[in-house]
Amino acid sequence: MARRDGSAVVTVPSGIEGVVDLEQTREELHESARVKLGVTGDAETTGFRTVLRDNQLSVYPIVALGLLYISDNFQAFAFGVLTPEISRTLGISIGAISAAIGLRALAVAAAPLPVAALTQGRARRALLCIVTGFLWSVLTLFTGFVTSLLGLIAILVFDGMSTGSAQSLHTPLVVDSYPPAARVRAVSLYQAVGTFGNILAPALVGLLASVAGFTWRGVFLLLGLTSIAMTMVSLGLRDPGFGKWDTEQLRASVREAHREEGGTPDLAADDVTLGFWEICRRVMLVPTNRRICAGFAVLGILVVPLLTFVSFFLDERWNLGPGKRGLFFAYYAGAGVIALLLYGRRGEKQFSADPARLLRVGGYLLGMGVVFIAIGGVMPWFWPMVVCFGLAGGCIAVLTPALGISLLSIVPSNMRAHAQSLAQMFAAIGGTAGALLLSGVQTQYGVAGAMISIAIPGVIAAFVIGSAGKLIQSDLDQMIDSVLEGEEIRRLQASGAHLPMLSVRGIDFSYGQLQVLFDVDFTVDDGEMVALLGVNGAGKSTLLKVISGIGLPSRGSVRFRGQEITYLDPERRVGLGITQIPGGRAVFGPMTIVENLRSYGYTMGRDRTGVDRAIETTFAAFPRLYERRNSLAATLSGGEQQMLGLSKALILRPRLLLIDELSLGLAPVIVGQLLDMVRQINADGTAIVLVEQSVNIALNLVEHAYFMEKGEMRFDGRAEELLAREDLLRAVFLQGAGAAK
Amino acid sequence: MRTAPTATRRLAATVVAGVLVLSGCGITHIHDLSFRVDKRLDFISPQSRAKVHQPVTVSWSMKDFRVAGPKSGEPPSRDAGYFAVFVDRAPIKPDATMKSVAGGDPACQSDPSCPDKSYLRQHLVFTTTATSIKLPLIPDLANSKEKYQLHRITVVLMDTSGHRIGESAWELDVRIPKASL
Repeated sequence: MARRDGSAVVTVPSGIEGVVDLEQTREELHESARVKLGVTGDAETTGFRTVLRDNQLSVYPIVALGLLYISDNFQAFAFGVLTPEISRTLGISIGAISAAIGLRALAVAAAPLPVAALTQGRARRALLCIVTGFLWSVLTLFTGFVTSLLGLIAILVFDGMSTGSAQSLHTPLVVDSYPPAARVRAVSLYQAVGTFGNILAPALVGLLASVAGFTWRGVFLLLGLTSIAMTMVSLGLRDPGFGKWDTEQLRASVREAHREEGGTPDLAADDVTLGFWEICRRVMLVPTNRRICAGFAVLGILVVPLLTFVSFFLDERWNLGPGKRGLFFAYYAGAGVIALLLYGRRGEKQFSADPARLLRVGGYLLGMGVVFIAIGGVMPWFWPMVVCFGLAGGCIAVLTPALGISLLSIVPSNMRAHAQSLAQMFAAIGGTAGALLLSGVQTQYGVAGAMISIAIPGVIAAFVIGSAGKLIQSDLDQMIDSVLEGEEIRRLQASGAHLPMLSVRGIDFSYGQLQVLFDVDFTVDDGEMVALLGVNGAGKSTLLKVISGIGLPSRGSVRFRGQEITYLDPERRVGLGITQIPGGRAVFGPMTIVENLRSYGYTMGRDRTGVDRAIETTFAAFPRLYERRNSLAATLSGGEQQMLGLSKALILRPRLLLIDELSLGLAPVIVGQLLDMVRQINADGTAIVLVEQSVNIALNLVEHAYFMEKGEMRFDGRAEELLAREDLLRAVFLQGAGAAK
Repeated sequence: MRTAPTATRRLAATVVAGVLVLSGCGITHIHDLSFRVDKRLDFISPQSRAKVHQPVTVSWSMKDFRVAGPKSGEPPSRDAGYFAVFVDRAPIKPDATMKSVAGGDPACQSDPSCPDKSYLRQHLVFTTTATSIKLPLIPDLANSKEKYQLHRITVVLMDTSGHRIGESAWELDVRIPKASL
């Protein structure tokens, strides 16, 4: 059997022509896919209204979600303004109320991920947004009836939890509701509506509390009713589905390329659908996401405690009372609204020309923002100080759409809520750290010192965000490749084309900063036995880890029977039929042979009778193990331990068995016995990948071989052809190879 | 056909109901809750956030409330009683007595005569039947380096049996130079 050439390799495929077809189509579609994702390469944009009209869309989702965003802030703003009144009415100290508000902040930080988990199987984000909107509205209303600290804590914590939907679902829902050509503007507009709430909410609270003469109870009651009314507006909100305007369009382009009508059947099985933690891990493996989340964490240090410290600053430095401070914050938010409205089109152009530019400009804007804050902090004149903070507010406000679009454009659409939630969590962690840090600075150097010190994390965040720009292009390409490849595979499967059992494509893998696999391709067909050869440190064992799931690649894909398993947990891969026998006597030393064998059976959750039967089969195959069945595995010889390791295959009956260094350090007689068993397992239908340093052993067993060197696949072809490659098989390595032939 | 709610849904519904019950227990005695601002008391002097020097005298006017001391013999009602002034601390809870000022102080709680005037004064709590009060030396705020410190004075109403009347409370902020300067 032969397959696709890796670098300087071999013959052309038999039975897996589909994979070559796949590669060609993918390359052809790649450029048009970037355009479909809004990256046209030029800075031209179509008018927002034109995009809406052409696609028969409206601004309703933005307005509905914007209103939910505003009503979500009612509770927080009302507490910000009314805490002293609540304290004196209920006889609860401000410290206790602050602690309750702190618990709410924890709930706000913790809630987005669980909310995201609720949407990963089904696109029901709109429904969740509406339900949680009603929930926080009712909680706001009920705050007006609270009579104890316990009740207050319960209200605040559950309110914080209900706001998780706003954190995790709103922006992904806006992104999925509009085509890529209008997304930056859509998100900016949504943010502008929401930020407008930062003016409206405190103004409404102030109006009700002062002019209308309501106590805090009356204010919460009326805010709750207003919030319910605003949530009613969102009742028409519908989830457009995951990736309607991007990944689904890419899939459609694959079908168009093959002139197919309609959709292909969805062959994705539940057993390869990523679980919650697998999705989180997958999101964080994208380098740009890691950088943006780090940026969010540092940004959190700046942004989260900023308004609190500005409030102290205005009180102590400029002697502004609550009313004037409220006006100042309304002005600050207003500057943000204007900046967002102005930014939308410009940001769209930046993304369209080059997504990296969006992040770089984001970094510059943040840098400018913190400089304005620092200047405002030391400014001796009032009005120039106000101007400085207005400019800072404008610069910082536009970061949300810039970072949000960058973050969400490079993850599969059903993982966007997770990506958004993770970023929010990082910001919350940064915010907590920032509050503690800046409190210390304020104690030492006063509030002006704290204001100036804010510039330090700001500059770091600006650098981190700007530096993410150099990563985003390749991550976008990776996402496009993944979608196109997935659709091609589905199409091929639907058409009945033969696909290899295991297909590893373009794998990069690193241990920390040390990259050890470089663009590795590797394929195994049903029932095939292949050898994976190479010197020590070539990356063979690492490649096995990537296949079995012990190691996760930074790039590339692993497909098993056509389904992507790149980010699936190792134990789930065992369930799919992939079993690895690690090198170096992989047995549980303190357990007996029988216990070891039972432990193999346990991983499959088999019934006891089935496991007993499998153990009997193992003892029949390895009588030596039966003789020593009650001995501890640690007391076995090297050969016996390898027999025990190999018997894992007899217990689990995998479809694909990965064997790492079976012969290492064993006597030839023992190796012979083990190889007979490997042949038998293969003959029974299990595909085998045999990692070996010993060329003669490997080439005695297989027809197809791979050769790795320094983390790259240097040979992929027939075993006898490898023997002709003296450039690869150096003198030491070749010892005995001739004999094998 | 209706399906039985899952355990998760039941749990979620129970939790939400619990929160609403816990928070909404005020609904059961809704007449005790104030939804409109009580404007019967107006501070006369000093002005809010004014810079003042110690000792500070605070005065106010009161409408629709009959002043009666704790030993006046008048039966307790919502319309008669005296004033309690709290400086830089939260007032006692509605319907609570001054005993709650000594909450967490076992020595005072075991003494029937405690808290007396001197104990309350130590804790910056004062009572009066007059519409003004001269506050003794107010200590500096802890952990504050500000030259003029913002102190918060809260006035609530007490009935003749020594219980706080309703939820009404009035607050005045004044700026006082740091005593150690």
